[in-house]
Amino acid sequence: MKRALAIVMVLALWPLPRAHADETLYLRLGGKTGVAHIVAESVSLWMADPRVASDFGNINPDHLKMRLEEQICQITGGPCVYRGRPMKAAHAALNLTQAKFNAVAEDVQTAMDHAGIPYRTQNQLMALLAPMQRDIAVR
Amino acid sequence: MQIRKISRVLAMTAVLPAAAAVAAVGGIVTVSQQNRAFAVSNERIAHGQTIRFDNDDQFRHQIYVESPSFNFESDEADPGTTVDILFAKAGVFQVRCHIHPKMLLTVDVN
Repeated sequence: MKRALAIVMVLALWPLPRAHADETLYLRLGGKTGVAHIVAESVSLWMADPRVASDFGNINPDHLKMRLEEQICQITGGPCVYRGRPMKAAHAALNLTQAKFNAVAEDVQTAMDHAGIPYRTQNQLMALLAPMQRDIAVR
Repeated sequence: MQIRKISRVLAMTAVLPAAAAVAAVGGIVTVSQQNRAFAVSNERIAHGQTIRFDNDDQFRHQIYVESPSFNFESDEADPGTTVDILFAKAGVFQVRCHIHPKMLLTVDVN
């Protein structure tokens, strides 16, 4: 009897973690509000980061945030469509280094730290962003 | 008026090599966009004339005019495309880009 009760209790509790595991990365990042928060802080960090600030000197931060929110939303399983240009075309004229790409990625991780995003979730987003290095950094 | 304008612009182009990115074609004044900037910072035209903005850049641009008497906003324009703005009224107007806030062209329409 005790064993049956224990099984029922386990089953009752089981659906919660399963449902959580089925959530998209987009939802685990906090959905629209969470992604917007991460993007806003990332852009602020980039514009204040001496390693990359000059690369953002003539870019409207609000426009940049809009496109980044769309892109992160789309690649993490959210309901958005990225309307910006392909990464290679968008960055071709900037002659960016791998060091700059790494600095930008580091600032995104800092923004996620500040937002309280768990490391495992952070790593899942970084794994989606990392392959973009091939198209963004040219040297 | 338009013929005078064309002659004037062509004469300026011949005299000033730096003005080569600005040209008048059939009464339309053309301004190039390169390196996230307009090729010129000032332009004078007659009212009723059009400025054609060539995106000769490697970036998208989205130009706009905001003023009490005239407003204009383009879609985002890819490299290799053009945007025409007809200036129907006299005045001084600032053309800017939503994406690149340091881009500024002052248009004096007489």
